[in-house]
Amino acid sequence: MCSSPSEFYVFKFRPSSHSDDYTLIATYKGAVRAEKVEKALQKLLKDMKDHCDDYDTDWSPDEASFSISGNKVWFEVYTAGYLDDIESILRKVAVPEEVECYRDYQELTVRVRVPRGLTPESAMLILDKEEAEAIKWFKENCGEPKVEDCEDGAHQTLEWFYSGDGIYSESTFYLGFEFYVGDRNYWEVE
Amino acid sequence: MSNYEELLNEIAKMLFRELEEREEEVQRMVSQLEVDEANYKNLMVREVVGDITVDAQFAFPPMRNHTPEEVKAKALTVFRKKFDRDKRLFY
Repeated sequence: MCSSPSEFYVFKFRPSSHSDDYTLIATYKGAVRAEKVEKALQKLLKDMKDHCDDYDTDWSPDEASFSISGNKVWFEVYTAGYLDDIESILRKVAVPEEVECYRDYQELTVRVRVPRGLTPESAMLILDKEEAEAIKWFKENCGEPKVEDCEDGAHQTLEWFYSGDGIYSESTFYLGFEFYVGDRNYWEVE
Repeated sequence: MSNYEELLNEIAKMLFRELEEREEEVQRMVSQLEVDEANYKNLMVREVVGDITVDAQFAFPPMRNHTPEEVKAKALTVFRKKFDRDKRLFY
C-alpha cells in the first residue's frame, strides 16, 4: 500500500462497456473478521437502497449476493465493473490477506482418460495438437494432475481442479484457443 | 508523465488536502475499522481517482471532452459522495 499522494495507483475495477458476472473473494485472518465484513456489506447494500443517487453503479442491491465461508467473503453481481464501493468495504472494515476478482467464476473438475502409465508429458505426445495444448494449459495453470487408475485396468485419468475466470461453456474450453470436447468422450468436465 | 497523469496526481493531492480538513471525522471512522488512518486515506483517494481516470484521459488532446477544471470539480463531487457514504456506514 502506498503512502504518499504521488504514489497512488488507480482502483482496478474500471467500468467497461461489457458486463460480466463478477465474483470477488476476500480472504481474512479469521472468521470473525469475515463476519464483520459481511455485516458491513449488508449495511452498504441497504444504504445503496436508501441513497441510490449517491452511488454510481449499473446494478441494484437486490441483484447482488454475498456469503461467508470460514475466513472468506464472497460477493457476486452482474456488472460492467462498478465494484469500487464493494472493494472499499472489503479493504477498510478489515484488512484482507487477499482480494481476488473473477469474471464468470467457475470451479471445474477436468478429467482426461489416457492409457495406463502415461504421464501428462507423454500424453501430450500421443494426443492431438489441441489436446496437447489443453493439457499443457492445465498443467501450467492448475499444476500436476491427480492420477487415478480406471476400473478397466488399462486406463487412468488425469484430473485437474480449476477455479477462476470462466473458461468453459457448451462443451468448449476457452484457453486462449477454443477446444471443443463435446465429441471426445474421454474428456470429462464437471 | 503524461498530461492526464499529472492531472490525476494534482487531483490526488487535492483529495488528501480535503481529507486533512476532515481529520476528526476520519479518525472517528477509522476507530470503527481495521485500517489505519493513512491507509483509509489512500483507499479513499484511490477510489475517487479510479472513478475519474477516464474523464482525466479525455480532458486532453485529441479528445478534449471537458476541461481539467471540470474533472477536478467532478472529483470533488465524487469524493464528497463517497465520504458521506463512509460516514453513514462507519460512524
